[in-house]
Amino acid sequence: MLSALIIILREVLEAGLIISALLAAAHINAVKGIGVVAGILLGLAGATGIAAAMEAISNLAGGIGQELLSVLLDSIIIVLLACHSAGSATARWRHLMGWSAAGAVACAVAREFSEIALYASGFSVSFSVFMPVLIGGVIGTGIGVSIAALLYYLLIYQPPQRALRVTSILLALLAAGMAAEAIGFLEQADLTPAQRPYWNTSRWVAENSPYGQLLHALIGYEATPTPLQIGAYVAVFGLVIGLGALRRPERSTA
Amino acid sequence: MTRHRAWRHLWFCVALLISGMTIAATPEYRLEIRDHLFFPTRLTIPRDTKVKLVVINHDATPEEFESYELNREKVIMGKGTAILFIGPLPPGEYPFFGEYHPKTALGTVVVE
Repeated sequence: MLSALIIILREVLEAGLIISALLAAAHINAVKGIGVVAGILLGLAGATGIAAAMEAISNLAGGIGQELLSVLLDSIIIVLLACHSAGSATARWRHLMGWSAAGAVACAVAREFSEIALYASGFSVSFSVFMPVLIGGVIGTGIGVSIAALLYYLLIYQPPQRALRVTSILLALLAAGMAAEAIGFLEQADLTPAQRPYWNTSRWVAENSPYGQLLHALIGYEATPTPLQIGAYVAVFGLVIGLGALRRPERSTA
Repeated sequence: MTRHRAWRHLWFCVALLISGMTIAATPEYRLEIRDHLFFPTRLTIPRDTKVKLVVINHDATPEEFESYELNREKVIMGKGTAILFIGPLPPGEYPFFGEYHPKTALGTVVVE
């Protein structure tokens, strides 16, 4: 039951943090957050589809279908978060925020929930086997949602200018983390040059410690990134932050 | 350039490409999953070398090969096979686990 709790907590947290950050951005920018709810529902539907088709997906393109799907979803999230950032910067593009948030949430939920669905499918053999997974899953979901909710309130209960800045930086870091993860999948599938890790920070923050897991979900922390991952991280962070900094004069008095 | 010389250049390039592909052939290693356990539990690979892992799942239910140290995660469907690439890596021990059965499915990639 504990294993199920931890696995499901991790997946819920990864999607939950993106949802919280986008809901907070909607609140701070006085934009409707209903798109995010639609995104969650769409993502859940997509996730069941992905889990059901996983065998076919796995066998695509000579066995690298899973990696291709992950890279696709990560890339869509990055593009949408970039649009979202541009939308928060100028009133003229404000309408971008709603649907880009919905789309990013849909992809994130599809990613995480399909993993949960696949995991659970292996334990659906009998009720006695499934019960501990269900209980662990419910508790894990509860904890994950609580942490995500905590983040939401931490973000919105701040002075307006700081809330805007912190949320924008967090969303840029989330996008950057996606980029590094996407590169990792490309390396796994041998679609990019294989590289040695550039540094190893596991002595300071181990990836499989609770702190490391939280950092991974929040900012895409990797203890042993390759140069390509580092480059992608920095480039995407710069892009998303840069788009958000294209502020028109009317924003500075907000 | 005459057509004769162009053909010679082309064959030379093809020969170079083929020889390059054989020299750079990626070593393959097998990992098997049976009863939610990995076999072998210790897999030794050479240092600084890109390596292809072929994971065969003999169980009826899916398993996810995962490793923080190797930065890899992949689902292997029940009665299925998955491939993934690891390395080049500096010498050391790199633990991995089956995420769906983390208490039993454990192993280490040893890089020498």
